[in-house]
Amino acid sequence: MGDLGAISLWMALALAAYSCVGSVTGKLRGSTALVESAQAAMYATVVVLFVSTLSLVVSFIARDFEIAYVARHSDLAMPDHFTWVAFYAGNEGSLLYIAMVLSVMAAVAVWRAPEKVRDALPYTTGVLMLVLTFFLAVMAFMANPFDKLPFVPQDGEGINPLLTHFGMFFHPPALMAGLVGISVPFAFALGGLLARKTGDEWVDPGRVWGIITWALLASGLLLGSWWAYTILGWGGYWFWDPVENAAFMPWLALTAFIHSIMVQKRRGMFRMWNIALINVAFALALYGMFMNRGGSVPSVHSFGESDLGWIFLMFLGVGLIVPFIIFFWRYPLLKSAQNLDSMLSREAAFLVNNLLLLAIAFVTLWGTVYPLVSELTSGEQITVARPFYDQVNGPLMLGLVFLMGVGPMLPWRRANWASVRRALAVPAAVAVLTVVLLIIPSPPGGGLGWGRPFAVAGFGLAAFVAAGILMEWYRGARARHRNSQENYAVAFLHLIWANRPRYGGYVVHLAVIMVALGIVGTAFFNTQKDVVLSPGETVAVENYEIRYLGTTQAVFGNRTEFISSVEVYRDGELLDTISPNRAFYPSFNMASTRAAIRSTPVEDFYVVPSENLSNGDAGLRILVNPLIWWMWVAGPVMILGTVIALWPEPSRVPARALGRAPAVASA
Amino acid sequence: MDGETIFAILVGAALGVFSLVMVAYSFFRDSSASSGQAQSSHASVSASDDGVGLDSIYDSIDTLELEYQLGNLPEAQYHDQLQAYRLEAAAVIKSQLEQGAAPPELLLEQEVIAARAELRSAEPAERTRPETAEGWQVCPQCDAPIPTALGQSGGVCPHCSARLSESGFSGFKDSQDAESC
Repeated sequence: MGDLGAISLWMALALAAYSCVGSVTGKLRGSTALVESAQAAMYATVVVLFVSTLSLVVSFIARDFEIAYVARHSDLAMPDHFTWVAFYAGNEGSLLYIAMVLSVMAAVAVWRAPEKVRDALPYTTGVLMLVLTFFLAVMAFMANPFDKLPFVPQDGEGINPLLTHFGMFFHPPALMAGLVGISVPFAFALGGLLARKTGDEWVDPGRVWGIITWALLASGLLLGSWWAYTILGWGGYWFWDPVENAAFMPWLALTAFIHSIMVQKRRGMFRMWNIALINVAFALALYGMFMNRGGSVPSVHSFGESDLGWIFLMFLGVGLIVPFIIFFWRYPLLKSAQNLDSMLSREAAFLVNNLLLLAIAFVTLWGTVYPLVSELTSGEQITVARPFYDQVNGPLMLGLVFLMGVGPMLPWRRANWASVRRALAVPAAVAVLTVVLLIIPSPPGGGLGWGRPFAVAGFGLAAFVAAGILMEWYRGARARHRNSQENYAVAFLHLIWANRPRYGGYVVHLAVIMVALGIVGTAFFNTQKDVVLSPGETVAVENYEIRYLGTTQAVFGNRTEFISSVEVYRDGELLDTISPNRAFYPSFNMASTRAAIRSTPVEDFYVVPSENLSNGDAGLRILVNPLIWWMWVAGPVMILGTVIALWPEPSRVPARALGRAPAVASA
Repeated sequence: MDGETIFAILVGAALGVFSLVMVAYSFFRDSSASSGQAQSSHASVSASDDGVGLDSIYDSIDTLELEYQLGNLPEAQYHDQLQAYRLEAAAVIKSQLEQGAAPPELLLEQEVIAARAELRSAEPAERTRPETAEGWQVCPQCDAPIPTALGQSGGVCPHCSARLSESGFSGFKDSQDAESC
């Protein structure tokens, strides 16, 4: 199957290159046939790349070790269901995955593009196919997943043990799809600029694809955090690692974009700003891919053996400079249709939210590249660690959460202080009450006091946002209940259904608040203890007491597992018996751990073995992580919100614009 | 050559033929059909260009309504903004009608209005009201049957949005009374 994979890969490269050149040339020469032919080539690329992808999958299933990539990332002991993970475990396969995803996204985006962007579509196709051509060319000339070994080994090297985790089925694919998916809204924006369609034509597809890629990135980041939490054995979930940062930054830029694009959709404002934002998001996505594939800052996440850094750096340079040249070329055409009526309005809140998000992105970028800068300037590489990010990004994030509570309460165009006071009175009261309850020592000895102001502020702001959202839901349901006599539950569901983008957004905001709870809980209140216990020995951590029972050893084809048994007690009562384990993989000379976690909405009790001694003693790391459960639950909630927000709306009846507004509105 | 290589060549050749057909198809299609399609596509693009603005205005009106119902907006501000949005919508529709690029619904509506106006000016004195069944009356603007109760409550015609007087038979009104007929 390797030959077929290689043939189809080259064919895909030819088709993508033809589609890129053909669509732009056809548009410039006014040749409809050439444009349509180029578009057909883009659709054909999907089929051809699917064959290529299938060839690699079949090669993995057949354990065709003649193919170097298969030999490097699988072995005979690998269970078949890890084929999907092995597929993108290395540089070559992940590039093929990215190319496949991009070709599908490009085809769907062009196929489903609204009529109003048809004029610009050849350029959009050209941009998308240029990006695809880059990935295919890198594969074809530098990292071909179908390259063959001069001999056929008896067995492969096996899959990286760190990848044999449930989270790996979704975390890398979601992140890679999110990073490359940014090309789609970017291509719509750039296509519009090139076609002189500099109005609001690209806003709808830009928004939809912006939200899709935002959700993919957010899911990938959350799943990656969960993977790190359960498998890396240090008890945390976010390390401000360069590659983590590289995925986080485009997500921040996209978050800004999906808010500000709403302003353009509603008010015809922020036209330049939105194009600049999507350019920045695209450049940051390319930077993420560069970091992942041979970036100059080392990371546990990157493809260590990659020597593709320079080519990705060049593409990053092109992807950063060319769009901004086009942007400045079309600058005179990018005047907004409206001006900001008032600083006390929703659009102004979105603007400030954008500035905060970009500030966080650039602080993170600075922290990520600082080791390089310090090496260039002083000859000494200084790594920036968590305290820097906590101190600088922490207050910015608090400001962002505050705006998340205020922004949706403000009307478009202009608000007056009286209505703002009325809208914010209840959320503010709930926030103050939360802060007071947290500070006062009740019961005596309890309470957080004044010692952790950021934590108290975090909880207060979370309460502020949640109260604002719940109050808005209640008011909306009550309005429907009064107008249409529906009961409250039905009225609430109809309210959400009739205002999907708005209420989907609220659901996503609730998910963000759940993540914030997890971050504040673990950052300020977690407890960690490292102990070495003999069998039968006990140790107390917070309200818990654990008894280490002993460790058993199990030998598998590719690893030896050391499974410890630990009883967890609270107030003298046995809660659970948990089994953290540690495995050693001789072929990788690598140990991998699996934490045992007793998870509740209040806190996680987390035990991970750091060492297993020959006398039966075990080194254990024990953590109590408050509220982290909310962070993992936030993932599905966020996806639910995204689906609600993106669910297609019915078409409108134009005559309504001048007639009476409906009894129960939708927004 | 082993079986796997032959399979690869055969499937590769099939993929090649498929790709060539996909790429070449548009060049061998009937050129006039293609050009006609392109023109109609262009026309629909033009027609929908201004529609972007209208959709946004409809969305804004819906949002405004919701904000008002949620109590986030005082009444005076709500009416001011609603009026502003309606003016924006009217301007967009006027521009669409002038360019002949309005959506078909609006163009049809304009034709109906024009035809009615012509009919009225041609025979204003001879016009008689249709007989109505008990409990029903006809709209003075569009002649559609409507419940008498609606007219008595001073509502609007559900068909053309014309305002109804309490009697429901106050004679023809000025065109300004019909908000969107």
